[in-house]
Amino acid sequence: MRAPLRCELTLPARVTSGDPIALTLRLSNPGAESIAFLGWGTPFEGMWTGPSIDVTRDGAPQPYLGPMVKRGAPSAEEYVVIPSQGVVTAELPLHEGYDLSRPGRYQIVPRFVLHDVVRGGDVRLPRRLDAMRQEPLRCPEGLLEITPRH
Amino acid sequence: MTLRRSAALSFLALAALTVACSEAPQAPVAPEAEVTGISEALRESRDLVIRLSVPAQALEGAGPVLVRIEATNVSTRSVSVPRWFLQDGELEEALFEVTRDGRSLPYEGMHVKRPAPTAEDFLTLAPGGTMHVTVDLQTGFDLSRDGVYGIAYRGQTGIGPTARLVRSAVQPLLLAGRLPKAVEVGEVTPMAGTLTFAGRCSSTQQTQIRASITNATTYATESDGYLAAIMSGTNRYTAWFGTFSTAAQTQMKGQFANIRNAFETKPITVDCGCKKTAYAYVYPGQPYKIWVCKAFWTAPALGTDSKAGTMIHEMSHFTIVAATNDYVYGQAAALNLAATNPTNARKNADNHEYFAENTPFKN
Repeated sequence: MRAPLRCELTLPARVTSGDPIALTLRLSNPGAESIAFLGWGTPFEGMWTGPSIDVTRDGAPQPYLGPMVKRGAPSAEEYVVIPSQGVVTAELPLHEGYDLSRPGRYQIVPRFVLHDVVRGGDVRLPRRLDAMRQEPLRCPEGLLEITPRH
Repeated sequence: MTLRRSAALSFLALAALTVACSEAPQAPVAPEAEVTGISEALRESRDLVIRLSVPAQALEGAGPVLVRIEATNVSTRSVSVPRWFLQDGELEEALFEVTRDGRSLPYEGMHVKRPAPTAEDFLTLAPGGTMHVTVDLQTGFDLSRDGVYGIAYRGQTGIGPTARLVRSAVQPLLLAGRLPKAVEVGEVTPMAGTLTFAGRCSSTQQTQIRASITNATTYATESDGYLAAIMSGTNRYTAWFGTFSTAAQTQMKGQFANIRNAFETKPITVDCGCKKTAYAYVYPGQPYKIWVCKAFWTAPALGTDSKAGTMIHEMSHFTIVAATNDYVYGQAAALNLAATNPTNARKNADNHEYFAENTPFKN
C-alpha cells in the first residue's frame, strides 16, 4: 500500500467583508519514495484554473468566478516534486475564484484532483496527456465567517 | 464612519420593529434565526405590493422590452428596499421569473458584486407611498424568440434576518417578430451571430479563428442532429457519454442545441492576447468571450484537439450554455470517464469536444 499525500488546509476563521482571504495548502509526503504531481487545478499553479473547491454560503452554493482552461501537453516545470518525508506549501487568494463579498458563514470543501501523479524517480517527466494517472487529493474542509464592514 | 454605522444600526432596528409589529403574530421569528441570502426560503412580505405593466399586451419587432414596476407600501410602517431591487434601466439582479411558452428562462444578466449594504443602499417607502421604475427585460433574459412570455417580479424588502420576499402576479406578454436578423460581417458567412476580435489578433489569426467558428458551428449542428436521431446507445454515444438512457440523451441533445444556438446567434469575442501553453480558456460566467492561447495556433483545423473542437470545448463551459467542468483532460481519460462515471462525462468539456470531433470515426 502506497502512502497518500497528506493535505492540510489553512484559512482565516473570520474576515471582514472585502478583505483578502488566503487559502494555504500544505502537502507532506510521509512515504519512502518521492512523489511528483502535476499542479494543474491546485494552488501550486499560482492561479485559479477551475472550480476545484465547493464553496457554500449559509448552505447556498456559490458560483466559481475564475477561468477554466483547456490544456495542452504538460511541461516538466508544471510538476511539483515532494521528496520522501518532504513538505511543500502553496497559497492562493480564495476571493479571486469565488464571490465572498457577502457576510455569512462559508463552508470550503476542496475537490482537488491531481491530473498526474508519479511515484518514485524512474519516470521521465512530463508524461503524455494520455499516459497520465490522476488521483483525488483529499484535503480537510474549512469554515470561514465573513462579517459585515461598517 | 461612526455616523454611517449608527444609521445602519438604526435602520436594522427599524426593520426589526416592522417585522415584529406587522408579521410576527403569524409566525414569530427566533432572534437567532438563520435566514440569509436573497431569495431562497424567505417569508413573503405583506407590506409591499408590486404591480407590473408593459406598453402593450403584444409587442412586435426587435428592441427593448420595457417593464414598469410599481411598488406600493400598503402597511402602516415604513418599508425599506435595497435600491438595486427597484432601479431604472439595466437589470443588476435576477429580479424576474420569466417563462416563454411555459418554460422557465435562466437569468443571463449582470450579477453585481456588492460590499455589505449600508443605510444609503436602501430606499424607504412611507406608509401608503408608491414609487415606480422601468427596466429593460432584455438586459437580463434572452427574449430573441417569439412566444408567449410570463413575467413575474421577485425582489425583497430589508436584508439579512429581516428580509422578506416580494412577488408580483404574472404579467403575460406576447412577443412577435423578434427573430435575430442576419448580421453582415464583411464577408458572407453562414452564421447569424457576430464575431469580434480582441487582444491584437493578426489577420492570419483572424482568418483561422473565423474558420474555427464556422467549423465548430458545423460540428455542433451535426452533433445536435445526431443526438436527436439516435434511439439507443450507439458506439459514438456510449464512448463519450457512457450508458444510454432517454433522460441522458435529452440532456446531451439540450446541451448541444445550446452550443449550436450560441455559435449561430450570439455575439462571440475571441481574444488572442493569451501567451500560456494551454489551448484556450473562458470565464464560465462571462459568455461569449474566449481567450485562445499557444496550443490553439499549432492545433489542426479539424479532428482531435483541433481548433474547431477547442471552440466546442470552450463554448460548453459557459454556465448558460452547457455549464461543463474539466473533470479530466485528453481522449484516454475522457473515454475512461464515460465508462466509469457517465454523469460526470455528460458534464465534461473534453467529452463534448471529442464527441463533436468524432475522430477516429465512430458510428
